[in-house]
Amino acid sequence: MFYFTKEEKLVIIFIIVSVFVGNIFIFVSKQSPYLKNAFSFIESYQLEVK
Amino acid sequence: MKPSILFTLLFCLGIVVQTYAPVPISLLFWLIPAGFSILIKPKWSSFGLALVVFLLGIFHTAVFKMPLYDDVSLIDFRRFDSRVAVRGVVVSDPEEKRIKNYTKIVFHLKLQEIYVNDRWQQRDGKILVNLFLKLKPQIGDIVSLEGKLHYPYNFSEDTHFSYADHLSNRGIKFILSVGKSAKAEVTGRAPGDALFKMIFQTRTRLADVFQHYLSPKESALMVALVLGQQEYIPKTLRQLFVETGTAHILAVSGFNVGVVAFVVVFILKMLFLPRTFQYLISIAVIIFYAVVTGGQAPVVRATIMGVIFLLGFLIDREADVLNSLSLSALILLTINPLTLFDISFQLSFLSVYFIVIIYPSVLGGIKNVLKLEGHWLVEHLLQSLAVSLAAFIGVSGLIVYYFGIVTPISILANLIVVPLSSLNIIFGLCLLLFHWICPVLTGPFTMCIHLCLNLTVVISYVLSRIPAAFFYLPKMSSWWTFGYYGVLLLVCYFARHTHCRKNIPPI
Repeated sequence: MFYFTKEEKLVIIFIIVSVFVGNIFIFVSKQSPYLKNAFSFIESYQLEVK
Repeated sequence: MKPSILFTLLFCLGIVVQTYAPVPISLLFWLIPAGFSILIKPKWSSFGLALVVFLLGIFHTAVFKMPLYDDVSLIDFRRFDSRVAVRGVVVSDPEEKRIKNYTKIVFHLKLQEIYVNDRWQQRDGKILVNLFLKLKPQIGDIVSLEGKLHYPYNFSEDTHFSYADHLSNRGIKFILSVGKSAKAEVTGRAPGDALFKMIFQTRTRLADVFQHYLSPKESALMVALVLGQQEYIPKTLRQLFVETGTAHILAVSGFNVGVVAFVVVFILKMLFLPRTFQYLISIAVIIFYAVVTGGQAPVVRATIMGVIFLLGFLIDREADVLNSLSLSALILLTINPLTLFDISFQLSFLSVYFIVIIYPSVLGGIKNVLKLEGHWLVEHLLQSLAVSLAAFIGVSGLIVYYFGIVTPISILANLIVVPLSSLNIIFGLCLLLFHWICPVLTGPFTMCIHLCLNLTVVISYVLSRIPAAFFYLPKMSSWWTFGYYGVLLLVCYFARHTHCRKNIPPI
């Protein structure tokens, strides 16, 4: 059983949540061609609209 | 056990589990929030935290190993002729390797396009290129190449080192061999590579300084010692350092970072700069040094630990070695979890860990056996011997497992070769400094380097000739290595408790 102060707990939760959220971003960007080529996708979409 | 060490080990365990028994990624999306719910409880649960860290290790590895939707590894190899054309950007410093009577240029290429099935396809991912013709591209160049794409070969069956795994851990699944008659050209420069270019040009310029003042073999050794580039070291010389267990001095490691930090702090102290500036400039210099020398695992580990220690001096707090070691491991594993399977990563962390935990017992044991104490020089020698012995005990299991060699002479060799190498690095840094400030004063440093380098080689040669200096062992199973470290940890545990009972504070 470890004892952590309130500040230490906050830092640990912040690190864990950021690694988790970061991984979700990477997961989505690896799956989707639109996120990787966002700029070219938006350009082609705008061209289509025109 | 310190919480930092436990959480690092759990994160590593997650990486190992995901590598050898992959958990479906969809399951992890549910498991980790479930772990979070244990954490949010009013009473902090250590078990919940440990579980979340372990699951995070699994999840991070799963996401890291997942290929991009257009990764080159997703092409089915059997469907096309392995002769392909590719376009891409050179993303590593091209190395020249001499093998018997031919020379090849080796570099990593980040793919942009590949010509497969009669059409150009946009593909992502990295490949290793072996170039057997007279073209040496620079980092950041866009190149167009034709050659044969194949899987990496494993050269030796005698050891556990796998070249294919080594490349795979760096995200490389294929090798492109470009023959003498194949088409290869540099077609342009990739935008936004100014920083990379500056870093690698700096390294080339620094290497040129050594080549200007020293003979080819001496400069090859100095470039390896100071800048970590081993490509010019003759094979016989490298073998000499392997056989005496001192090959670690040829790769940039914590030892080099320590010497660089020492030299920088020393020079800044001589200039009477304020203490805060001394440490801030030292931090900037060691980070720059880590980047220039290629950012391998041992140097990044040492740089993170060095930064923590220097920051500790700045705020007047003592840094804890094991906590900073854990933090540097977690940072490296977050960047690339597969670094865990790198030999340099394992050797670097294990050596520091065992030096920290068994050094007091080893020093106590040596003092009891030799009955030598008192004079500061004797004390210093005994401490160096204890560090050398602790490092030998700590890394022997892995060295036997991967390379099948035991080097008892390394305990003695490191006592002599490491101080000499420290001098070489200090003289090398002074030579680089005075080359830019006042070239007239470089003469004495060149002479000192010449003397120390030759002494290092002669001593290594003499030590390697001593009977039973080193011996080769047959291929060992991984259980043998686990057993070795299990017994070692048990011995450490009992030794620490004996220390506590005798009221001797363990470090």
